[in-house]
Amino acid sequence: MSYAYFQIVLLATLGGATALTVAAACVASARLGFGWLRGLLVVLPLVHLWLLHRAGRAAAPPAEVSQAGSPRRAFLAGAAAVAVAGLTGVLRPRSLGPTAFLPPEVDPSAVARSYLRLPGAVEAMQRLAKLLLDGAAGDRAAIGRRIAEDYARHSVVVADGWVLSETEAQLCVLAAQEGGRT
Amino acid sequence: MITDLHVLEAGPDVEADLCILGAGAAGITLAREFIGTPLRIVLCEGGGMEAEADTQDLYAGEGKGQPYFPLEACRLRMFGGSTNHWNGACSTLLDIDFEERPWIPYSGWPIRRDDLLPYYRRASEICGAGEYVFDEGLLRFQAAAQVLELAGARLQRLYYQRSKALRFGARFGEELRRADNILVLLHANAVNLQTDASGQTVEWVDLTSFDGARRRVRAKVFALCCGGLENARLLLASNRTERDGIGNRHGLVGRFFMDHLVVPVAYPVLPDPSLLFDNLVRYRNHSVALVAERRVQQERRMLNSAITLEGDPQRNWIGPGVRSLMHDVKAGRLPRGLGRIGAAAVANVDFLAYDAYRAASGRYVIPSALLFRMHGEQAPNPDSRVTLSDRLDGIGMPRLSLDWRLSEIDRHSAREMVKMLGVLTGHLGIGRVRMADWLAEDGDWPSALEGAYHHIGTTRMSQDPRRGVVDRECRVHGMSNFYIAGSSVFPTSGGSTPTMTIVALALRLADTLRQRQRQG
Repeated sequence: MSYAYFQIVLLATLGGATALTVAAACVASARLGFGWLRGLLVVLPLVHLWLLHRAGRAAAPPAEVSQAGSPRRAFLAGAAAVAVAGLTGVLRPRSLGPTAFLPPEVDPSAVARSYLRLPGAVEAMQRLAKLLLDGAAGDRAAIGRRIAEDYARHSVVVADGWVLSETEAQLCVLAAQEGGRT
Repeated sequence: MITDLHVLEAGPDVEADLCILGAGAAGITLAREFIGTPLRIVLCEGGGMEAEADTQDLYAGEGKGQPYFPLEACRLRMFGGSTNHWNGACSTLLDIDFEERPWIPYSGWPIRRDDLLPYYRRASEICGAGEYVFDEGLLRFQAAAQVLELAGARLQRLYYQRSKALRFGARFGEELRRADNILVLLHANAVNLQTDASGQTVEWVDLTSFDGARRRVRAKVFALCCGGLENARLLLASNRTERDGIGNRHGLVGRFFMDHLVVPVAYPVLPDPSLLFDNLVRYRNHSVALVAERRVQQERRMLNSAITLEGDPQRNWIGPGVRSLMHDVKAGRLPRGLGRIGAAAVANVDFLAYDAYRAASGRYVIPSALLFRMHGEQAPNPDSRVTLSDRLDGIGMPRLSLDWRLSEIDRHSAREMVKMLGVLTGHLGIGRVRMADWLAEDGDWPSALEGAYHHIGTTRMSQDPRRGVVDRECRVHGMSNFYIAGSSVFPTSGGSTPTMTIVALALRLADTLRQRQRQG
């Protein structure tokens, strides 16, 4: 088997295997839930990249081929680019701040600006601040319960177009204040 | 027998026991009820068996107020009427739709849903929707393993059973052709209803065709079934005895025009859309919409609007992107936006795989972007109306002018529904909802707002002649032998599709006429 032919077969096999594996994982995730998929999608391209690298070393080409076309380097660079693109696509940074409960599409600053224009918003903020200072709502579980109670009581507001619980909107105000953007 | 007006031999006026004007869902249903009876029925249709441009142009009119469809495009003047472009969605009005709701002026029917229930059961079969279910019994057809819990959000389901787009003309035409006691006249455009001097009895109807044929039909009873716009037009134009037209002593004919308000109201952001999608979309020949519980509607002073979950064609980049790419390739151009499409494909790899799985398994495909679309009830509004224009159509009838007006409560109801959708997704912890920009901000209705080709309310039903054109039996107030069928008699529209109710009311009218006949 010529080296060029080997590269093509390798590319097709591993590329296809990657695509199939990712697709299968996605399908499985659709049925079973998305939680564990993100981690798998991070690891899979790295594993395949490593396999590509090992395979390339094992089939080390003659020196003149390596110097002339460097197809392997180009292939590895391409594979790395695909892996990076995949990672950026599937890795969505999760906020660990006050708005960790919200989808990443929510812009806390915009919500905060919109929320603070609503009647009674400032007083509601003061009540939340007191709870936080007292430590009663200081842990994530307590905040989660408070949000759930808001939804159970239909205590929602429309801020920046988002339908959010009162507590979520107030958390956006806190987050925006942390960032100095209100 | 089915024949054309112009091939009828010249002779005396056509005599009938019952003359039905309009061969759409209501007219054909009513006529079928009398097949094989001793009664002589004449069923008049302005169009032919197929759509014709000249005939269709008779529907053209003027529009002002809220933009609406061209009037010649939103209904069909041919045998079978607008069922010829019907999408087959069958649903029934809910109990609350018939009630007088103090927070909605002019609401309330003079009949209850229970009065229509036996007719709904028959209408379901006639419309091709199969056995009447229309309740939680349909949940067995949904794909979701987990039934969506709606009570926390105070929402409930509105059920649809889908007919395979039944065309009443094609389905029932042969039956009417074979019926000895039924004469179907095609290209028979009604241009005048003539009453006696007192205005209490319709004596005849004048018919004309494009080629100049004219005939007169005299009947003991007349039933007007020409659709929500045309019913009002013929009543207003038949003004030889009464200056303002037939049935219009209180100026109500043509007022209270309503359609359903079809518009995207919100976009869900769901990490995993399958629970919502499988519960609200993935059925076999059925579907589900969401409406607010009765108590909530009262508390929040809102209308009974329905919300469906659908794919968002504007935000779904895959289809248009690929189509644009293929278009460029076929035209020999370098594809534009290749990078953007490729990047979007990478970023949405999970949805792509999910879509592929759905497609391969032959089930519904979850689109890459979803939206909540409102099928909103429009509040009755006397200023939303049709009137006669100064322009004449091809057979000398005044054309219609439509002034479609919406009310603040229409918009308020949309906002309240979106808040409840937000509660639904938040309460279940499955995501959040973003309100459409036009609704989140104060302002005009968006250009995306459409009607649904449902022309409702122009000859509304009420026991009080000052509030309605027809009574609870669909008889025109103050008249002895003149009835109206179709969605023009609905006092309110609800959030449901109207065809089943149109057919049910036509069946009920047939019973009324039979009873009248028995009583001599």
